[in-house]
Amino acid sequence: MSRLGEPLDSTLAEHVKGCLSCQETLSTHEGLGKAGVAASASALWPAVAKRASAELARKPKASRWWFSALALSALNVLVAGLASFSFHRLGLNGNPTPTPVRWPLAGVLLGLLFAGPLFALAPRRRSSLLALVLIALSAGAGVVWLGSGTGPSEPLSTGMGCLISEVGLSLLPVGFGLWILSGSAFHPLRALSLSLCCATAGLLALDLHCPDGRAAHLFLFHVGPWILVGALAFLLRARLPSRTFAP
Amino acid sequence: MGSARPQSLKPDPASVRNQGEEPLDARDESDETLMLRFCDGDSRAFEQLFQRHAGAIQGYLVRLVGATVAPDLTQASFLSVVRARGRFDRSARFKPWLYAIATNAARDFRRRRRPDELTSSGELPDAPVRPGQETQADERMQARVHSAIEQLPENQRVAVIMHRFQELSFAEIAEALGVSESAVKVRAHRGYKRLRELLRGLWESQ
Repeated sequence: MSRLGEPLDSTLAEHVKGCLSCQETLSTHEGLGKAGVAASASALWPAVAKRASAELARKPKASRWWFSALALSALNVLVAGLASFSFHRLGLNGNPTPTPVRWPLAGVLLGLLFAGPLFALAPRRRSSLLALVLIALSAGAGVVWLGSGTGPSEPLSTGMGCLISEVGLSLLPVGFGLWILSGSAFHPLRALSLSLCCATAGLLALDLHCPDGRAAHLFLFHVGPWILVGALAFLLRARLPSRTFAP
Repeated sequence: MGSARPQSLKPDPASVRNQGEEPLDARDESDETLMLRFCDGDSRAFEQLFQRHAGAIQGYLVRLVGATVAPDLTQASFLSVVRARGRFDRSARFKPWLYAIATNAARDFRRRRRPDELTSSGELPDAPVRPGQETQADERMQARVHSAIEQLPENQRVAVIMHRFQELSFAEIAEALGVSESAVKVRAHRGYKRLRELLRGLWESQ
């Protein structure tokens, strides 16, 4: 296959003589060449030139892709930081999870917030997107499983405040993330990984401050809404028109 | 860095008159050099890239989505080059990037069309051949080859079209599709094998 369409050296030519599969592939390749389509697109140039001129007049200098990725990272961290500060001011400092468990997990969530957009939006690192989604989902699972298991003796339904905080804190980063995502071609893993990373701002702030460490609470009011926001953002991106088709 | 102020891209009468021809000083420049010049603000470089690749891209899109929408998607692809020039990796090759854009434009088109508007392979039905598309073989052969290619799964179809008709190397196809070179070879091999079955007897009878 590597030499298909190129002149064959004597060794390969000898191999082809005795290989039915290679003969068939070669003859199909050769035969298809008789059915070429030569298209001329020069008539399109005036229209392309007009629209390209307008685009260049609006934005003469191209900004590199990582400018917007860094801006999103900064926004993620800012939202998480402000939320954390607000929770602290409100006296919500009750996460009873032992520090050696809580801080490494918080570190992973912070990594997703800051480095996640840079990995997700990189044009040539498409292979790392699945890894990013898996890391994000593992971190979500970690939030539930590494919780303290204890909490106030209140019914679970009082966790609505956590749910609202999670969703509310995600709105701005997810909205900005969707705008950036629509600047390139739709890529399912990129959309999912970036949506989860953007929704992590609320997850981190809640994980640091929420006093309820029961697994059911963490799943229903922290991680569940986080996954839901990520999934909704993914579905929304699939329906949004792309401003460009660049990878 | 060059000037940030773009030059006019209004159609130059001379370039329209000499369609397909590049200015003498651009003939030796690689696509990558032209793209870097464009990223640095030289809009003439974009015109040269268009003249070099627009015909091939339109031919590729004709095979992927049919002749009716190929010109619109060709325009959209080149406008994407303009709008997303900040996403071009300065160490990458231009041609695979451009084909990735065109492939994405075709996928987006198929994804957004209602299923009842398309044939099973995602084309508009009864796509007429537009004037200016010169056929090199007889229409019957074209139609049969076209129909056979339509029956391939998308990943095999894209690999075969890029390799056979656009003459991209396997490495370039791999770069355009974001997969490994060996994966592209497997797809192309399966595609050629399936085409051989579908087109059995066609060339023997020519």
